[in-house]
Amino acid sequence: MLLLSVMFATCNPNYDMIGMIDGTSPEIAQRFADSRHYSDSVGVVHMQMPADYRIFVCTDSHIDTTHYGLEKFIRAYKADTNPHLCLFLGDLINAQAHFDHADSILHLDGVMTNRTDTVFLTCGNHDIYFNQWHVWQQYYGSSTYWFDTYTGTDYQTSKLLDLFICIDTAEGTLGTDQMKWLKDLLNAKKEAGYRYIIVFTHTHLFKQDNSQGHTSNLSIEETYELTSLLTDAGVDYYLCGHDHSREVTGYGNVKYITVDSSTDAEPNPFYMVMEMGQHVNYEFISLLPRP
Amino acid sequence: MRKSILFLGLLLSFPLMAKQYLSLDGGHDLRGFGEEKYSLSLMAEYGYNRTWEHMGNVDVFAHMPVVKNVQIDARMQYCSANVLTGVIVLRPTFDLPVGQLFAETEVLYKGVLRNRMSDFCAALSVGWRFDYVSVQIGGFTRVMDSWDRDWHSEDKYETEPFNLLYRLEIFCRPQTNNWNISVGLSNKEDWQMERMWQPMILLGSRYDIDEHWRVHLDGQMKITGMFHLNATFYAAYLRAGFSYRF
Repeated sequence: MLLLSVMFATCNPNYDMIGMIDGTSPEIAQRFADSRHYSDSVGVVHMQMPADYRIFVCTDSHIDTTHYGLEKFIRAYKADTNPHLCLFLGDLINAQAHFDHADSILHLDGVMTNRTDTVFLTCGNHDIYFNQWHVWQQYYGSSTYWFDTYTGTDYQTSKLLDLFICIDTAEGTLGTDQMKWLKDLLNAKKEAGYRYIIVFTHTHLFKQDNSQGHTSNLSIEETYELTSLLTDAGVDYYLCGHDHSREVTGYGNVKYITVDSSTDAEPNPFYMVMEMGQHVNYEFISLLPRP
Repeated sequence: MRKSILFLGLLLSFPLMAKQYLSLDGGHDLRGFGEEKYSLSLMAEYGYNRTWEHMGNVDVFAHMPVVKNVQIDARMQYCSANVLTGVIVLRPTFDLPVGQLFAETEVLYKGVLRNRMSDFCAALSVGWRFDYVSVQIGGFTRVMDSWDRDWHSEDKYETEPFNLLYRLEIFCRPQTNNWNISVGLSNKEDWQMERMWQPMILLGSRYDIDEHWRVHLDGQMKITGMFHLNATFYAAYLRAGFSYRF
């Protein structure tokens, strides 16, 4: 079975088979350095929001020739009249040469004019296949950054709402530097008075079932370290994709949510909407029917 | 015709080869699995991974063939990254005309002191060993829990009900030889059980100085992201030590 999967994958031009031995994009230490360089140059985003707002979450659109799911999601996001922001958890495209196509859907009717607008992305493994990290970076700048929301008129004097941290796990590891950065950031922000802390990325931490075959997790040592760090720092949600199937689980006081894929190849694509307020509520919304 | 005679000859000789193989008490892997003598091993290990970075480990192995065809292995490791691991394996074996069948019940407890948490794995597997090849397949369950979990809150522990377990090991010499080198692919090694899509590459070697003393040199490498086609180096271990066979 494994041999058949490998043989099939070898024949599929969408799969970067060299990456099975050694990833073709720059590895995580370089991507982290590139991301921090970009994020430091543009500065941290502080978004003014009312206390109650919405987060639209989408992942794994795997854009190649069609874009029904992603377009439907972007239109739903645009049509929503509540204050909101959007997180995209990676695997925007399926393979190479589809960033133009995918990006045109993200920009639909003026949504997302640049990274500091209201769609925040991280990269997934498919986004960086075939040495495409630099292409991804030209479009979206950074895969490791943080931003927050506040309520009031001036950031310095206003009440902080929620902290969002984006990490790059496209290779199945945070790497040494990114892990240190995350630890330092969480330690620095632990007592800042945020209402909720949300970490979002591409790769899931746990493997509760075999829902999507051969998706890899982070290694077990990194799972220990990260789960413990998130618990100690009072993180509330870890949002990810990659697995293509929904999973809501918990470890310590952290809720781990794997959001369903939105790809057109998926029989049951979904996205998620989180209602941020005194309590957090979330629901999964179907992207069916397709046109 | 000549091929058929050769094949028939090989087939008939298998029971004899197997008998010789079993009677010579060669052992299975490089740490004495399969041997019918008690042994105690002590090893020192240097390790590196991207999360804990550099570390030094001390490993103790006890191999106990309690009755014929039933062995118990016990292992303890202290890792300087502040992690303690204990493993117990119960292994009945069944002699076959060709090779030997074995079953393993293994429990692994890892006290991750640095993160104040535990990782408990319980595995069931079966395997078939020959002189040059050993294959093993099974499944395991994992439970991860924090030592600081608040029992009066909604804090959770994590269970992974089923993971496939596999191990393929190839040896360059027959098990009866006084030295051997092996290469293996597995998602489990002596001190950890990884998720099924996270294989590790294992290298091993041993040399029997005399009837009692044996020296070992082993290595291991873990690559993350192989099966989502963005592989990168994650961890490596190098281990050296000796065994005393009673």
